[in-house]
Amino acid sequence: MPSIPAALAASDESAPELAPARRHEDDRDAVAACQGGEREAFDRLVEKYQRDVYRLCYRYVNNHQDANDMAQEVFLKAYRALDRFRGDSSFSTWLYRIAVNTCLNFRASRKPEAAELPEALADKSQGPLERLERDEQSRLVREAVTRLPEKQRATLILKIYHDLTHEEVSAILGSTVGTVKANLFHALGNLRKMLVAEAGE
Amino acid sequence: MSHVPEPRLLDVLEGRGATDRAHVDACAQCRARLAEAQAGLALAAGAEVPEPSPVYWESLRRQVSRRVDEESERRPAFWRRVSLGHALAAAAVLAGIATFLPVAGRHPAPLPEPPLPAWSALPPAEEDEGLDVLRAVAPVVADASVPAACGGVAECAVDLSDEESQVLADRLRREIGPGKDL
Ligand SMILES: [Zn+2]
Repeated sequence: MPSIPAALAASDESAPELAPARRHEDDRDAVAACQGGEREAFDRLVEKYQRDVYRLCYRYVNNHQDANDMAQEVFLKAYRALDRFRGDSSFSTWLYRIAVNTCLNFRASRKPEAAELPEALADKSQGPLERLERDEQSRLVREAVTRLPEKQRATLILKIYHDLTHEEVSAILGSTVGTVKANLFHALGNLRKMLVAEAGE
Repeated sequence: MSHVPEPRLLDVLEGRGATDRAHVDACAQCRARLAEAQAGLALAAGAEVPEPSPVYWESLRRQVSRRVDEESERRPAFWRRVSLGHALAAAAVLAGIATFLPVAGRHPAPLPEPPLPAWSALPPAEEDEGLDVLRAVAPVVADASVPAACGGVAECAVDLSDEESQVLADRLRREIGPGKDL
């Protein structure tokens, strides 16, 4: 049976791989530099986390334009609050928390189908047919994810698509590890039920 | 027979929990629950977000950077207002101290240090005691400045500047190839 991390390994190829301890140490240095007034240090944090933040936002709204707006909003909120970041959690946990809250409070202004990723900005490494089939399947699943109950949706997105540990997800969402596991289990079952029901319609 | 609770079934799904695995193997009900979650996982794992090109990441980074710059430009103005709040607070405290100090002839006693936070480490706006003083002294000024400090002001425009748009357009043309419109 494939474990969850193994099943997900292929979905996050472009994310730079760093040992967690080293990653957190680098973040601490960058945060300290920001707090000391080094403006460029924040750009480095944006560059490092913009993919994670954008993808998280995309999972909530399922369209590029809103995800783009939300990602910017997340970083601005982080910038405004950075002086108050004391390092009680890792920077990434803190940033994810801001991102999830931003997503929950965001009212989508665009319908998913009206705002697909502009063709010029899409990655063209796959053939058109292959892309079409895969995109359609992905779109159905992504839409089903947005209809999951709030906690289940957040847990599934963070665990499955961001490959975080149960402990990290529990720190971000402020729930216990047991609750995270239960929510993820329910989310996976519900996702399957929704998609089966849709296929039968 | 009591069935395996969800958190432990998830452990089984992730390849842990040998004892529960034995139960699942023997229990049709738990096996069905596990199979459903497994199928959900297979569906979820394949649903990727459309991947933008490197050009997009560059534009996102620049848009965030520009908005942060705008934020930074606004911030000093806010800090100056908070400093005014602290100055007013200091003045109020000093005035209070002066009122209650006994007159000591030609040799007034030195003033004690005012109980103020360090000027170099200003607290966040909403925790700033100086703002309460500022509110009392000049409610209009305080009410106008606090929402701005907390990010309550109107959102900045997100569009690229003409120059940035030109750079992006040039990059796109290079990616798409010559002779094609954007
Ligand atoms: Zn059972």
